[in-house]
Amino acid sequence: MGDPGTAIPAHERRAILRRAFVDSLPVLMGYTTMGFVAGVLLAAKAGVSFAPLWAFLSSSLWVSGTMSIACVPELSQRTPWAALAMMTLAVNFRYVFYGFTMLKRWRSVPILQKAFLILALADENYALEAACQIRDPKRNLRYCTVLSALNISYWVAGVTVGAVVVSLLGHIIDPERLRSWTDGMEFSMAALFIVIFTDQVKGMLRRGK
Amino acid sequence: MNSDFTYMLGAVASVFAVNYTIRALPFLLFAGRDRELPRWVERFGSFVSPIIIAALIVYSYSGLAWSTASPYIAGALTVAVHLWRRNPLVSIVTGTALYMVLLSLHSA
Repeated sequence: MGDPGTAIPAHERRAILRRAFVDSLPVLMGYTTMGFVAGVLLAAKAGVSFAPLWAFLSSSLWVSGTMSIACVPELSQRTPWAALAMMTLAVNFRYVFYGFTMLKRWRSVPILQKAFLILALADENYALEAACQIRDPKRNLRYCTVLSALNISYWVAGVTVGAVVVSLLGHIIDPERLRSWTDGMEFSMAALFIVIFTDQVKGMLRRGK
Repeated sequence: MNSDFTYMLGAVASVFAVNYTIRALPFLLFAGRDRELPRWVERFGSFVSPIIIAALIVYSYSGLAWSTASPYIAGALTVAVHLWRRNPLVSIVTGTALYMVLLSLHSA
């Protein structure tokens, strides 16, 4: 355990940044492609004007791939706000468990930083944070913060670019073809969970011996 | 178009409000308490996180071609490569590449 009163040395900060970046690479692959699909769908199927603006706002405020894709048919039908709220509750209720496992770790984190970490508590980000082996609280917090910023930016970039591409080229290229370019890339998120789970099981077996 | 704008503003805001509240709920429930967290909360993380990850695997499979063999073959390869090389990125890229190949063979 490091002394909480001392700052993290510069070379260690860089090492944590590098580690978070390497860990985020599978998310980079999954979020940019899935985000792209969500952005394409929003711009092509939701029937809204200023699609890139809504793509940017919804991706950065929700950070939820499930809702970004599931909301598209609802938006096209102009489903009432209250129904969208109920749908969010049903689809994303699982997130409530993520916070419980982070309560102790993030106990003394300043409020704004905590608010940001909470915003970023999506599946992939949570899975990596939960699997993080950095024991020192300050270094762990830095890892989580850097990882959250990276993953959110991948997601927002993917969704926004997808919507912009359709808005600019939608009448030239069929949006369905744009979407099909990424076919199969969604497996990378399942693979990320499989890898983390494999490590957890290996760790449990080792401790059990 | 103006009412469209209002509709979308409200839609983004209402999903955000519910989504963020779900994520923040545990922190709100235990906010501002100086005393120690209850023991069950402290222990919760260690045994519940593998269960969550397992559920996420099932959940992510529901978005794949789960009724074909492809995602299971690709999943098995991901585990095998991960046990062998112990490099998450290599395992994930290999598994995803195989899934994309299988998927294109399937739809061809």
